[in-house]
Amino acid sequence: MTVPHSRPLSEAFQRIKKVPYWRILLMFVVVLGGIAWQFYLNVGFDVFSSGCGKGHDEAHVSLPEKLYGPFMTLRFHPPTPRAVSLVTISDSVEPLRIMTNACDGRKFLSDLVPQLALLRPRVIVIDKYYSEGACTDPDVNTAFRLALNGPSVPPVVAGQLAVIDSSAAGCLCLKPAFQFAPPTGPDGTGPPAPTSNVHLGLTQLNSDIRKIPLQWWAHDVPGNNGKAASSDRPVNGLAYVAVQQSDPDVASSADLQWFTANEEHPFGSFPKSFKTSSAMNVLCQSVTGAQLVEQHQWGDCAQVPRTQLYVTGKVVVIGELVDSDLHPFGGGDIYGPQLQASYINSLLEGQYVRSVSFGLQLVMILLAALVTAVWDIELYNGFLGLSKITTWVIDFLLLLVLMLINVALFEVGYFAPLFLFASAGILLGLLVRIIDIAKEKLATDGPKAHRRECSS
Amino acid sequence: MKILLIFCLGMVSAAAAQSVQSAYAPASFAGCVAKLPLPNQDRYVLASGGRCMLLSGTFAPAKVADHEVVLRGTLIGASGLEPLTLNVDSTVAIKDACSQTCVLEPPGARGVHNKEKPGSQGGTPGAAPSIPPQAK
Repeated sequence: MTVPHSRPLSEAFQRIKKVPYWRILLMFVVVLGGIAWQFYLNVGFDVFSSGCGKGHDEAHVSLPEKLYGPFMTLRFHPPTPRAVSLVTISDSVEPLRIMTNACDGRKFLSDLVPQLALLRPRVIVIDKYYSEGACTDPDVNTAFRLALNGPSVPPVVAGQLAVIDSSAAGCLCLKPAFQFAPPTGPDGTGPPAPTSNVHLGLTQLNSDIRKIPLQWWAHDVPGNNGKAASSDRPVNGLAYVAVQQSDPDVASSADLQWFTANEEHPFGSFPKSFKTSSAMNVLCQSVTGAQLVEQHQWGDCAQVPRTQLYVTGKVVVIGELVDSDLHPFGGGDIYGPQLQASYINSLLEGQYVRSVSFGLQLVMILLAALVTAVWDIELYNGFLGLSKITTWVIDFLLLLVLMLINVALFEVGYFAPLFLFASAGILLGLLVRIIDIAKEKLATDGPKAHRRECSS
Repeated sequence: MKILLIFCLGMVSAAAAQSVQSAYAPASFAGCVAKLPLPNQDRYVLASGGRCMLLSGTFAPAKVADHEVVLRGTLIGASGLEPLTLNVDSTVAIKDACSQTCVLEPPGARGVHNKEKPGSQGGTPGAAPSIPPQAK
Protein backbone atom coordinates (compact mmCIF):
# COMPACT_ATOMS: atom_id res chain seq x y z
CA MET A 1 0.00 0.00 0.00
CA THR A 2 1.41 3.40 -0.88
CA VAL A 3 0.87 6.44 1.30
CA PRO A 4 0.06 9.54 -0.76
CA HIS A 5 2.84 12.09 -0.38
CA SER A 6 1.26 15.23 1.05
CA ARG A 7 2.91 18.64 0.66
CA PRO A 8 0.74 21.04 2.69
CA LEU A 9 3.18 23.93 2.29
CA SER A 10 3.25 23.59 -1.46
CA GLU A 11 -0.55 23.28 -1.57
CA ALA A 12 -0.91 26.40 0.58
CA PHE A 13 1.46 28.25 -1.72
CA GLN A 14 -0.56 27.15 -4.75
CA ARG A 15 -3.71 28.44 -3.05
CA ILE A 16 -2.03 31.79 -2.25
CA LYS A 17 -0.98 32.09 -5.88
CA LYS A 18 -4.62 31.94 -6.92
CA VAL A 19 -5.34 35.15 -4.98
CA PRO A 20 -5.35 38.12 -7.35
CA TYR A 21 -2.19 40.25 -7.03
CA TRP A 22 -0.76 37.89 -4.42
CA ARG A 23 2.77 39.27 -4.78
CA ILE A 24 1.62 42.75 -3.88
CA LEU A 25 -0.46 41.46 -0.98
CA LEU A 26 2.57 39.52 0.26
CA MET A 27 4.62 42.70 0.16
CA PHE A 28 2.00 44.54 2.23
CA VAL A 29 1.85 41.68 4.73
CA VAL A 30 5.63 41.83 5.15
CA VAL A 31 5.63 45.62 5.60
CA LEU A 32 2.81 45.59 8.14
CA GLY A 33 4.16 42.43 9.82
CA GLY A 34 7.51 44.12 10.22
CA ILE A 35 5.92 47.11 11.93
CA ALA A 36 3.86 44.81 14.18
CA TRP A 37 7.03 42.87 15.04
CA GLN A 38 8.73 46.14 15.96
CA PHE A 39 5.94 46.85 18.46
CA TYR A 40 6.01 43.28 19.76
CA LEU A 41 9.70 43.74 20.60
CA ASN A 42 8.73 46.64 22.83
CA VAL A 43 6.36 44.64 25.01
CA GLY A 44 5.15 46.74 27.93
CA PHE A 45 5.44 49.93 25.95
CA ASP A 46 2.18 51.14 24.49
CA VAL A 47 3.07 53.28 21.49
CA PHE A 48 -0.52 54.32 20.91
CA SER A 49 -1.30 55.55 24.42
CA SER A 50 -1.00 59.24 25.16
CA GLY A 51 -0.29 58.60 28.83
CA CYS A 52 3.06 58.27 30.49
CA GLY A 53 3.74 54.62 29.76
CA LYS A 54 5.21 52.31 32.35
CA GLY A 55 8.67 53.75 32.70
CA HIS A 56 10.28 50.93 30.74
CA ASP A 57 13.22 51.19 28.41
CA GLU A 58 12.43 49.97 24.92
CA ALA A 59 14.39 47.00 23.67
CA HIS A 60 16.49 47.77 20.61
CA VAL A 61 17.17 44.41 19.05
CA SER A 62 15.54 44.56 15.62
CA LEU A 63 17.50 45.09 12.40
CA PRO A 64 16.49 48.75 11.89
CA GLU A 65 17.48 49.44 15.50
CA LYS A 66 20.87 47.85 14.92
CA LEU A 67 21.36 49.99 11.83
CA TYR A 68 21.16 53.10 14.02
CA GLY A 69 24.87 52.95 14.97
CA PRO A 70 26.14 52.62 11.36
CA PHE A 71 23.74 55.40 10.28
CA MET A 72 25.14 57.71 12.99
CA THR A 73 28.70 56.84 11.97
CA LEU A 74 27.78 57.67 8.37
CA ARG A 75 26.30 60.99 9.43
CA PHE A 76 28.97 62.18 11.89
CA HIS A 77 32.07 60.36 10.53
CA PRO A 78 31.93 59.00 13.42
CA PRO A 79 30.54 60.81 16.54
CA THR A 80 33.41 62.41 18.47
CA PRO A 81 33.61 62.57 22.29
CA ARG A 82 35.38 65.96 22.40
CA ALA A 83 33.28 67.97 24.83
CA VAL A 84 32.77 65.53 27.69
CA SER A 85 34.83 63.24 29.93
CA LEU A 86 33.80 60.78 32.61
CA VAL A 87 34.82 60.33 36.23
CA THR A 88 33.49 56.99 37.40
CA ILE A 89 32.80 55.52 40.80
CA SER A 90 32.77 51.73 40.86
CA ASP A 91 33.26 49.13 43.54
CA SER A 92 36.35 47.80 41.77
CA VAL A 93 38.35 50.96 42.61
CA GLU A 94 36.32 53.02 45.09
CA PRO A 95 35.09 51.71 48.45
CA LEU A 96 31.66 50.10 48.29
CA ARG A 97 30.40 52.16 51.24
CA ILE A 98 30.28 55.37 49.19
CA MET A 99 27.63 53.71 47.02
CA THR A 100 25.70 52.02 49.81
CA ASN A 101 25.81 54.72 52.49
CA ALA A 102 24.29 58.08 51.55
CA CYS A 103 26.40 60.06 54.09
CA ASP A 104 29.66 58.41 53.00
CA GLY A 105 28.73 59.15 49.38
CA ARG A 106 28.28 62.85 50.19
CA LYS A 107 31.53 62.94 52.19
CA PHE A 108 33.39 61.42 49.25
CA LEU A 109 31.91 63.99 46.83
CA SER A 110 32.84 66.77 49.29
CA ASP A 111 36.47 65.64 48.89
CA LEU A 112 36.33 64.91 45.16
CA VAL A 113 34.60 68.01 43.75
CA PRO A 114 37.08 70.66 45.07
CA GLN A 115 40.03 68.56 43.82
CA LEU A 116 38.36 68.15 40.44
CA ALA A 117 37.68 71.91 40.35
CA LEU A 118 41.43 72.59 40.61
CA LEU A 119 41.78 71.01 37.14
CA ARG A 120 39.42 73.65 35.71
CA PRO A 121 36.59 71.66 34.13
CA ARG A 122 33.87 73.68 32.41
CA VAL A 123 30.95 72.13 34.30
CA ILE A 124 30.70 69.26 36.80
CA VAL A 125 27.67 67.01 36.34
CA ILE A 126 26.76 64.58 39.13
CA ASP A 127 24.49 61.89 37.71
CA LYS A 128 22.75 61.26 41.01
CA TYR A 129 19.65 62.41 42.86
CA TYR A 130 20.11 63.70 46.42
CA SER A 131 17.21 63.79 48.84
CA GLU A 132 16.96 65.68 52.11
CA GLY A 133 16.25 62.61 54.21
CA ALA A 134 18.75 60.04 52.90
CA CYS A 135 21.55 61.40 55.10
CA THR A 136 20.56 63.03 58.37
CA ASP A 137 24.05 63.99 59.59
CA PRO A 138 23.98 67.83 59.56
CA ASP A 139 27.79 68.13 59.54
CA VAL A 140 28.09 65.93 56.44
CA ASN A 141 25.31 67.83 54.68
CA THR A 142 26.82 71.25 55.52
CA ALA A 143 30.26 70.14 54.30
CA PHE A 144 28.61 68.83 51.11
CA ARG A 145 26.85 72.17 50.50
CA LEU A 146 30.00 74.18 51.12
CA ALA A 147 32.12 71.92 48.88
CA LEU A 148 29.73 72.17 45.93
CA ASN A 149 29.35 75.93 46.35
CA GLY A 150 33.07 76.64 46.80
CA PRO A 151 34.45 79.83 45.18
CA SER A 152 36.66 77.96 42.69
CA VAL A 153 34.08 75.29 41.83
CA PRO A 154 32.55 75.60 38.32
CA PRO A 155 28.78 75.26 37.91
CA VAL A 156 27.57 71.91 39.25
CA VAL A 157 24.56 70.06 37.84
CA ALA A 158 22.92 67.39 40.00
CA GLY A 159 20.03 65.01 39.39
CA GLN A 160 16.38 65.78 40.08
CA LEU A 161 14.10 62.78 40.48
CA ALA A 162 10.58 62.60 39.05
CA VAL A 163 8.60 59.43 39.61
CA ILE A 164 5.91 58.18 37.29
CA ASP A 165 2.58 58.81 38.94
CA SER A 166 -0.03 56.61 37.31
CA SER A 167 -2.95 58.20 39.17
CA ALA A 168 -5.16 60.86 37.65
CA ALA A 169 -2.78 63.45 39.10
CA GLY A 170 -0.51 63.14 36.10
CA CYS A 171 2.62 61.53 34.85
CA LEU A 172 5.80 62.85 36.40
CA CYS A 173 5.75 63.95 40.02
CA LEU A 174 8.88 65.73 41.24
CA LYS A 175 10.42 64.38 44.44
CA PRO A 176 11.67 66.98 46.94
CA ALA A 177 15.39 67.53 46.40
CA PHE A 178 18.25 68.25 48.77
CA GLN A 179 18.68 71.94 49.66
CA PHE A 180 21.96 72.69 47.89
CA ALA A 181 22.08 76.44 48.66
CA PRO A 182 24.87 77.15 51.14
CA PRO A 183 24.09 78.52 54.61
CA THR A 184 24.54 82.28 54.92
CA GLY A 185 25.77 82.33 58.52
CA PRO A 186 29.24 81.51 59.81
CA ASP A 187 30.17 77.87 60.54
CA GLY A 188 27.42 76.46 58.40
CA THR A 189 24.57 78.15 60.22
CA GLY A 190 21.86 80.55 59.15
CA PRO A 191 19.23 80.41 56.41
CA PRO A 192 20.17 79.13 52.96
CA ALA A 193 21.49 81.60 50.41
CA PRO A 194 18.98 82.70 47.74
CA THR A 195 21.11 81.23 44.96
CA SER A 196 23.21 78.12 44.60
CA ASN A 197 26.05 76.97 42.39
CA VAL A 198 24.18 73.67 42.01
CA HIS A 199 21.55 73.41 39.27
CA LEU A 200 19.09 70.54 39.08
CA GLY A 201 18.21 68.54 35.97
CA LEU A 202 15.84 65.62 35.58
CA THR A 203 17.43 62.17 35.43
CA GLN A 204 14.27 60.83 33.77
CA LEU A 205 15.18 59.07 30.51
CA ASN A 206 13.11 58.65 27.37
CA SER A 207 11.75 55.12 26.91
CA ASP A 208 13.79 55.15 23.70
CA ILE A 209 17.17 55.79 25.30
CA ARG A 210 18.66 56.88 21.99
CA LYS A 211 16.61 60.06 22.40
CA ILE A 212 18.00 62.94 24.49
CA PRO A 213 15.50 63.80 27.24
CA LEU A 214 15.67 67.58 26.87
CA GLN A 215 12.61 68.48 28.85
CA TRP A 216 9.67 66.81 30.60
CA TRP A 217 6.42 68.18 31.94
CA ALA A 218 6.27 67.52 35.65
CA HIS A 219 4.40 68.69 38.73
CA ASP A 220 5.27 69.11 42.38
CA VAL A 221 2.56 67.68 44.58
CA PRO A 222 -0.57 65.58 44.00
CA GLY A 223 -3.80 67.43 44.73
CA ASN A 224 -5.09 65.49 47.69
CA ASN A 225 -5.28 68.37 50.15
CA GLY A 226 -8.50 70.02 49.00
CA LYS A 227 -6.48 72.25 46.67
CA ALA A 228 -5.79 71.50 43.05
CA ALA A 229 -2.48 69.86 42.30
CA SER A 230 0.23 72.19 41.06
CA SER A 231 0.13 72.72 37.33
CA ASP A 232 2.57 70.93 35.08
CA ARG A 233 5.63 72.88 34.11
CA PRO A 234 8.47 72.04 31.77
CA VAL A 235 11.51 70.82 33.70
CA ASN A 236 14.85 70.50 31.91
CA GLY A 237 16.71 67.22 31.72
CA LEU A 238 20.16 66.76 33.27
CA ALA A 239 21.98 66.92 29.91
CA TYR A 240 20.15 70.07 28.81
CA VAL A 241 20.90 71.84 32.12
CA ALA A 242 24.58 70.86 31.71
CA VAL A 243 24.57 72.39 28.21
CA GLN A 244 22.89 75.56 29.53
CA GLN A 245 25.68 75.92 32.08
CA SER A 246 28.45 74.97 29.68
CA ASP A 247 27.44 76.91 26.58
CA PRO A 248 24.28 79.06 26.85
CA ASP A 249 24.53 79.91 23.15
CA VAL A 250 24.13 76.24 22.18
CA ALA A 251 21.29 75.80 24.68
CA SER A 252 19.41 78.76 23.23
CA SER A 253 20.20 77.92 19.60
CA ALA A 254 17.30 77.86 17.17
CA ASP A 255 17.80 74.13 16.65
CA LEU A 256 17.35 73.17 20.30
CA GLN A 257 14.64 75.77 20.78
CA TRP A 258 12.71 74.03 18.00
CA PHE A 259 12.84 70.76 19.95
CA THR A 260 11.69 72.30 23.24
CA ALA A 261 8.95 74.31 21.52
CA ASN A 262 7.70 71.18 19.73
CA GLU A 263 8.13 69.03 22.84
CA GLU A 264 10.27 66.53 21.01
CA HIS A 265 13.48 64.78 21.95
CA PRO A 266 16.28 64.48 19.37
CA PHE A 267 18.06 61.22 18.57
CA GLY A 268 21.54 61.42 20.11
CA SER A 269 24.86 60.06 18.93
CA PHE A 270 26.91 57.62 20.96
CA PRO A 271 30.71 57.71 20.70
CA LYS A 272 32.38 54.35 21.25
CA SER A 273 34.17 55.61 24.40
CA PHE A 274 34.85 58.72 26.44
CA LYS A 275 38.05 59.76 28.18
CA THR A 276 37.43 58.14 31.55
CA SER A 277 39.12 58.30 34.92
CA SER A 278 38.28 56.77 38.26
CA ALA A 279 37.33 59.17 41.06
CA MET A 280 40.18 57.79 43.19
CA ASN A 281 42.62 58.55 40.35
CA VAL A 282 41.49 62.22 40.47
CA LEU A 283 41.95 62.38 44.24
CA CYS A 284 45.27 60.57 44.34
CA GLN A 285 46.91 62.78 41.73
CA SER A 286 47.01 65.79 44.07
CA VAL A 287 48.81 66.03 47.41
CA THR A 288 45.70 67.37 49.19
CA GLY A 289 43.55 64.71 47.57
CA ALA A 290 45.87 61.92 48.66
CA GLN A 291 45.83 63.31 52.22
CA LEU A 292 42.00 63.30 52.17
CA VAL A 293 42.02 59.70 50.92
CA GLU A 294 44.17 58.70 53.86
CA GLN A 295 42.27 60.85 56.38
CA HIS A 296 38.83 59.55 55.40
CA GLN A 297 40.06 56.03 54.63
CA TRP A 298 38.79 55.94 51.06
CA GLY A 299 41.52 53.50 50.11
CA ASP A 300 45.21 53.25 49.33
CA CYS A 301 46.51 55.63 46.65
CA ALA A 302 49.44 53.28 46.03
CA GLN A 303 46.99 50.68 44.73
CA VAL A 304 45.10 53.06 42.43
CA PRO A 305 46.01 52.80 38.71
CA ARG A 306 47.15 56.26 37.51
CA THR A 307 45.86 57.45 34.15
CA GLN A 308 46.11 60.84 32.47
CA LEU A 309 43.27 63.19 33.34
CA TYR A 310 41.30 64.85 30.53
CA VAL A 311 39.25 67.30 32.51
CA THR A 312 40.34 70.84 31.72
CA GLY A 313 37.74 72.75 29.71
CA LYS A 314 35.42 69.76 29.51
CA VAL A 315 32.05 68.91 30.97
CA VAL A 316 32.89 66.23 33.52
CA VAL A 317 30.20 63.69 34.32
CA ILE A 318 30.63 61.98 37.70
CA GLY A 319 28.61 58.79 37.94
CA GLU A 320 28.40 55.42 39.61
CA LEU A 321 28.77 52.28 37.53
CA VAL A 322 26.17 50.12 39.24
CA ASP A 323 23.96 47.36 37.87
CA SER A 324 20.77 49.23 38.84
CA ASP A 325 21.75 51.97 36.37
CA LEU A 326 22.38 49.70 33.37
CA HIS A 327 20.21 50.23 30.31
CA PRO A 328 19.69 47.97 27.29
CA PHE A 329 21.31 49.50 24.27
CA GLY A 330 21.69 47.96 20.81
CA GLY A 331 22.00 44.41 22.04
CA GLY A 332 24.45 45.37 24.81
CA ASP A 333 24.15 47.47 27.95
CA ILE A 334 25.16 51.04 28.78
CA TYR A 335 25.57 52.69 32.18
CA GLY A 336 23.53 55.78 33.06
CA PRO A 337 26.56 58.13 33.33
CA GLN A 338 27.75 57.01 29.88
CA LEU A 339 24.28 57.78 28.52
CA GLN A 340 24.26 61.24 30.09
CA ALA A 341 27.79 61.90 28.80
CA SER A 342 26.65 60.91 25.29
CA TYR A 343 23.59 63.18 25.51
CA ILE A 344 25.65 66.20 26.65
CA ASN A 345 28.29 65.54 24.00
CA SER A 346 25.61 65.17 21.28
CA LEU A 347 24.05 68.51 22.19
CA LEU A 348 27.33 70.43 22.53
CA GLU A 349 28.77 68.99 19.31
CA GLY A 350 25.49 69.33 17.39
CA GLN A 351 25.53 65.58 16.72
CA TYR A 352 21.84 64.78 16.92
CA VAL A 353 19.02 64.16 14.47
CA ARG A 354 15.28 64.70 14.38
CA SER A 355 12.86 61.82 14.31
CA VAL A 356 10.21 61.56 11.65
CA SER A 357 6.83 61.23 13.34
CA PHE A 358 5.31 57.75 13.52
CA GLY A 359 2.24 58.77 11.47
CA LEU A 360 4.33 60.35 8.73
CA GLN A 361 6.58 57.29 8.58
CA LEU A 362 3.55 55.05 8.22
CA VAL A 363 2.12 57.24 5.46
CA MET A 364 5.48 57.23 3.65
CA ILE A 365 5.74 53.45 3.88
CA LEU A 366 2.24 52.82 2.60
CA LEU A 367 2.69 55.38 -0.16
CA ALA A 368 5.92 53.75 -1.30
CA ALA A 369 4.29 50.31 -1.21
CA LEU A 370 1.25 51.66 -3.08
CA VAL A 371 3.36 53.23 -5.83
CA THR A 372 5.18 49.92 -6.29
CA ALA A 373 1.92 47.98 -6.22
CA VAL A 374 0.22 50.18 -8.83
CA TRP A 375 3.33 49.99 -11.01
CA ASP A 376 3.34 46.18 -10.76
CA ILE A 377 -0.35 45.85 -11.59
CA GLU A 378 0.11 47.99 -14.68
CA LEU A 379 3.07 45.96 -15.82
CA TYR A 380 1.56 42.54 -15.11
CA ASN A 381 -1.50 43.54 -17.05
CA GLY A 382 0.78 44.46 -19.90
CA PHE A 383 -0.35 48.05 -19.85
CA LEU A 384 3.04 49.31 -21.02
CA GLY A 385 4.02 46.07 -22.70
CA LEU A 386 7.30 45.67 -20.77
CA SER A 387 8.97 42.31 -20.12
CA LYS A 388 9.12 40.84 -16.62
CA ILE A 389 12.85 41.44 -16.42
CA THR A 390 12.36 45.13 -17.21
CA THR A 391 9.65 45.22 -14.50
CA TRP A 392 12.12 43.73 -12.07
CA VAL A 393 14.77 46.32 -12.97
CA ILE A 394 12.27 49.15 -12.48
CA ASP A 395 11.22 47.71 -9.11
CA PHE A 396 14.86 47.44 -8.12
CA LEU A 397 15.35 51.11 -9.03
CA LEU A 398 12.29 51.98 -6.90
CA LEU A 399 13.87 50.15 -3.98
CA LEU A 400 17.11 52.04 -4.55
CA VAL A 401 15.25 55.36 -4.60
CA LEU A 402 13.53 54.40 -1.33
CA MET A 403 16.86 53.61 0.32
CA LEU A 404 18.35 56.84 -1.02
CA ILE A 405 15.43 58.82 0.42
CA ASN A 406 16.15 57.14 3.75
CA VAL A 407 19.83 58.08 3.63
CA ALA A 408 19.04 61.59 2.38
CA LEU A 409 16.56 62.06 5.25
CA PHE A 410 19.30 61.04 7.65
CA GLU A 411 21.80 63.38 6.03
CA VAL A 412 19.48 66.35 6.56
CA GLY A 413 18.94 65.30 10.14
CA TYR A 414 15.98 62.93 10.24
CA PHE A 415 15.85 59.31 11.39
CA ALA A 416 12.96 57.14 10.19
CA PRO A 417 13.55 53.54 11.35
CA LEU A 418 10.15 52.27 10.20
CA PHE A 419 10.92 53.34 6.66
CA LEU A 420 13.39 50.45 6.43
CA PHE A 421 10.49 47.99 6.63
CA ALA A 422 9.08 49.32 3.38
CA SER A 423 12.41 48.59 1.77
CA ALA A 424 12.35 45.07 3.27
CA GLY A 425 8.85 44.44 1.92
CA ILE A 426 9.72 45.59 -1.58
CA LEU A 427 12.96 43.59 -1.45
CA LEU A 428 10.98 40.45 -0.69
CA GLY A 429 8.62 41.28 -3.56
CA LEU A 430 11.67 41.45 -5.82
CA LEU A 431 13.00 38.11 -4.60
CA VAL A 432 9.66 36.41 -5.22
CA ARG A 433 9.68 37.87 -8.71
CA ILE A 434 13.22 36.54 -9.38
CA ILE A 435 12.00 33.04 -8.50
CA ASP A 436 9.01 33.60 -10.75
CA ILE A 437 11.18 34.68 -13.69
CA ALA A 438 13.65 31.81 -13.09
CA LYS A 439 10.78 29.28 -13.03
CA GLU A 440 9.38 30.64 -16.28
CA LYS A 441 12.82 30.52 -17.87
CA LEU A 442 13.21 26.89 -16.76
CA ALA A 443 9.78 26.04 -18.11
CA THR A 444 10.61 27.48 -21.54
CA ASP A 445 14.27 26.36 -21.66
CA GLY A 446 13.55 22.85 -20.29
CA PRO A 447 11.50 21.52 -23.30
CA LYS A 448 13.99 23.18 -25.70
CA ALA A 449 16.89 21.31 -24.03
CA HIS A 450 14.88 18.08 -24.08
CA ARG A 451 14.21 18.56 -27.80
CA ARG A 452 17.95 19.19 -28.42
CA GLU A 453 18.83 15.95 -26.56
CA CYS A 454 16.25 13.93 -28.56
CA SER A 455 17.37 15.32 -31.93
CA SER A 456 21.04 14.55 -31.19
CA MET B 1 -21.48 67.32 1.42
CA LYS B 2 -24.32 69.53 2.69
CA ILE B 3 -25.45 66.76 5.03
CA LEU B 4 -21.92 66.48 6.41
CA LEU B 5 -21.73 70.25 6.94
CA ILE B 6 -25.10 70.29 8.74
CA PHE B 7 -24.02 67.33 10.86
CA CYS B 8 -20.74 69.08 11.83
CA LEU B 9 -22.53 72.32 12.67
CA GLY B 10 -25.02 70.37 14.75
CA MET B 11 -22.23 68.62 16.65
CA VAL B 12 -20.41 71.91 17.32
CA SER B 13 -23.53 73.68 18.57
CA ALA B 14 -24.47 70.68 20.73
CA ALA B 15 -20.98 70.66 22.26
CA ALA B 16 -21.11 74.42 22.83
CA ALA B 17 -24.53 74.16 24.43
CA GLN B 18 -23.34 71.34 26.70
CA SER B 19 -20.21 73.24 27.76
CA VAL B 20 -22.22 76.35 28.61
CA GLN B 21 -24.71 74.23 30.55
CA SER B 22 -22.08 72.39 32.63
CA ALA B 23 -20.14 75.55 33.30
CA TYR B 24 -22.90 77.90 34.40
CA ALA B 25 -26.32 76.32 34.67
CA PRO B 26 -27.37 73.91 37.43
CA ALA B 27 -27.17 70.32 36.21
CA SER B 28 -27.16 66.75 37.51
CA PHE B 29 -23.89 64.89 38.03
CA ALA B 30 -23.59 61.16 38.66
CA GLY B 31 -20.51 59.61 40.20
CA CYS B 32 -18.79 58.25 43.27
CA VAL B 33 -18.28 60.39 46.37
CA ALA B 34 -15.02 59.96 48.30
CA LYS B 35 -13.60 61.53 51.42
CA LEU B 36 -10.25 63.33 51.09
CA PRO B 37 -7.37 61.91 53.12
CA LEU B 38 -6.09 63.41 56.36
CA PRO B 39 -5.94 66.26 57.34
CA ASN B 40 -8.76 67.21 54.94
CA GLN B 41 -11.06 64.36 55.85
CA ASP B 42 -13.98 66.76 56.24
CA ARG B 43 -13.90 67.53 52.51
CA TYR B 44 -15.39 65.36 49.76
CA VAL B 45 -14.80 64.85 46.06
CA LEU B 46 -17.04 63.50 43.32
CA ALA B 47 -15.40 61.32 40.66
CA SER B 48 -17.72 61.80 37.71
CA GLY B 49 -17.07 60.89 34.09
CA GLY B 50 -13.30 61.27 34.28
CA ARG B 51 -13.54 64.57 36.18
CA CYS B 52 -12.76 65.24 39.81
CA MET B 53 -14.86 67.87 41.64
CA LEU B 54 -14.65 69.20 45.16
CA LEU B 55 -18.09 69.18 46.77
CA SER B 56 -19.55 72.19 48.51
CA GLY B 57 -23.09 73.33 49.29
CA THR B 58 -25.94 71.25 50.68
CA PHE B 59 -25.46 67.50 51.03
CA ALA B 60 -25.31 64.93 53.83
CA PRO B 61 -21.66 63.76 53.91
CA ALA B 62 -22.35 60.69 56.03
CA LYS B 63 -24.99 59.44 53.58
CA VAL B 64 -23.26 60.17 50.26
CA ALA B 65 -19.66 59.22 51.17
CA ASP B 66 -18.45 56.06 49.39
CA HIS B 67 -21.69 55.80 47.40
CA GLU B 68 -22.72 56.20 43.80
CA VAL B 69 -24.89 59.32 43.79
CA VAL B 70 -26.69 61.73 41.55
CA LEU B 71 -26.22 65.32 42.70
CA ARG B 72 -27.77 68.46 41.31
CA GLY B 73 -25.82 71.68 41.51
CA THR B 74 -23.69 74.33 39.84
CA LEU B 75 -20.25 73.58 38.57
CA ILE B 76 -17.63 76.25 39.27
CA GLY B 77 -14.56 76.17 37.04
CA ALA B 78 -11.07 75.73 38.42
CA SER B 79 -8.81 78.74 38.80
CA GLY B 80 -5.37 79.06 40.32
CA LEU B 81 -5.15 76.50 43.08
CA GLU B 82 -8.94 76.35 43.45
CA PRO B 83 -10.07 73.05 41.97
CA LEU B 84 -13.18 72.31 39.93
CA THR B 85 -15.99 72.61 42.48
CA LEU B 86 -19.58 71.40 42.46
CA ASN B 87 -21.86 73.57 44.58
CA VAL B 88 -24.56 71.03 45.45
CA ASP B 89 -28.18 72.19 45.61
CA SER B 90 -29.79 68.80 46.18
CA THR B 91 -29.11 65.08 46.33
CA VAL B 92 -31.20 63.42 43.62
CA ALA B 93 -30.31 59.78 44.36
CA ILE B 94 -28.02 57.65 46.52
CA LYS B 95 -27.21 54.29 44.92
CA ASP B 96 -24.75 51.41 45.58
CA ALA B 97 -21.57 51.62 47.64
CA CYS B 98 -18.39 52.47 45.70
CA SER B 99 -14.70 52.96 46.37
CA GLN B 100 -13.57 55.16 43.50
CA THR B 101 -11.57 58.26 44.31
CA CYS B 102 -9.82 60.95 42.30
CA VAL B 103 -7.28 63.75 42.50
CA LEU B 104 -8.18 67.40 42.17
CA GLU B 105 -6.45 68.57 39.05
CA PRO B 106 -5.27 72.05 38.16
CA PRO B 107 -6.83 74.00 35.30
CA GLY B 108 -5.52 72.90 31.95
CA ALA B 109 -4.02 69.65 30.86
CA ARG B 110 -1.93 67.37 33.00
CA GLY B 111 0.48 64.66 32.06
CA VAL B 112 3.21 64.20 29.52
CA HIS B 113 2.15 66.65 26.87
CA ASN B 114 4.90 65.89 24.42
CA LYS B 115 5.10 63.02 22.02
CA GLU B 116 7.80 61.36 24.05
CA LYS B 117 7.34 58.59 26.63
CA PRO B 118 9.27 58.46 29.90
CA GLY B 119 11.50 55.43 30.41
CA SER B 120 13.64 54.51 33.40
CA GLN B 121 15.82 56.75 35.57
CA GLY B 122 19.21 57.75 34.20
CA GLY B 123 20.88 58.55 37.51
CA THR B 124 21.45 56.63 40.70
CA PRO B 125 19.24 57.36 43.69
CA GLY B 126 20.71 59.40 46.53
CA ALA B 127 19.28 57.12 49.19
CA ALA B 128 21.25 54.02 50.06
CA PRO B 129 20.04 51.15 47.87
CA SER B 130 18.45 48.29 49.73
CA ILE B 131 20.64 45.79 47.86
CA PRO B 132 24.26 46.93 47.66
CA PRO B 133 25.94 46.59 44.26
CA GLN B 134 27.50 43.17 43.93
CA ALA B 135 31.25 42.88 43.59
CA LYS B 136 32.20 41.85 40.05
